[in-house]
Amino acid sequence: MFAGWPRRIRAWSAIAALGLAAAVLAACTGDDEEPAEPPEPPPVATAAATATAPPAATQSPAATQAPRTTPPATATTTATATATATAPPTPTATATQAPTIRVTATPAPTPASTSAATATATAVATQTATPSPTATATSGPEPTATATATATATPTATPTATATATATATATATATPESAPETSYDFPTGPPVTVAANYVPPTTHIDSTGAWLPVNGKPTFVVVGAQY
Amino acid sequence: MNFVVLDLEKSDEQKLARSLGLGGHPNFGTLKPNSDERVEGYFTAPTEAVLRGMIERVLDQHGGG
Repeated sequence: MFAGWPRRIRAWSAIAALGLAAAVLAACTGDDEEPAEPPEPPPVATAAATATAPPAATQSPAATQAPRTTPPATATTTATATATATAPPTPTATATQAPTIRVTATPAPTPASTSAATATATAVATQTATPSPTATATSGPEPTATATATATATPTATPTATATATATATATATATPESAPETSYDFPTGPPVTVAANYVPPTTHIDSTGAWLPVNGKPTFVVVGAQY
Repeated sequence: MNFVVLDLEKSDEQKLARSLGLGGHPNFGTLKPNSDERVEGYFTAPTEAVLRGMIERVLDQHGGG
């Protein structure tokens, strides 16, 4: 191509051709890098659309064309803004459902609270028996029943305990007189005499045990003697 | 086993001895538990074997210790 040209000119023209080629290459690579960035926003836009409402979806296609011009980029931001704006309604919907559950849950606590109220009503009823029926007109029957139960329970327990105590006392008291009549024999009775192991009987007189017979359930050996 | 020694020179003891059928001297006898009912009686001086036999028999019939 540059065969007829002088050697110097050929060298400069080759350098210029290489520079042009490099510039073209750089331009091509620069174009490829730019479109790579825009694809990132679209997923965010579609995600927001599925999450909330169709209007965001209609704006998201514009967002896919956006990468080349600056205004579409701002459109994407507005789309996200709309998405966030529409997003709240969904939570609000779930929030309205959650309260419904809470409402159903509240009935459960309500019985508990009523029972607690009944308990406190019982306590009050025990203290003030007459005024409570007028105050608890709606829940009147329940507290009245429990109040009567506690009222009957307390007196029943106390007399039973007293009766048992009295019975025990009487038994102990009657035990002593019963043992006394058993001692009524037609002969003189008395305690048995204990003799020491090293006891030595006197030679001058008879060391008698006494004019009675022991009654300890054992047989008796009697020795009768005289000094003379 | 209870052992009772009565002196005939003392009136109350002599009365008790006579009520038991042991008013002589010397006299030996065995009684049932908690009773003045006599099981055996022996008058005059006994041998050791006689006294041992009386004690063993009353213990065999009425127990005690």
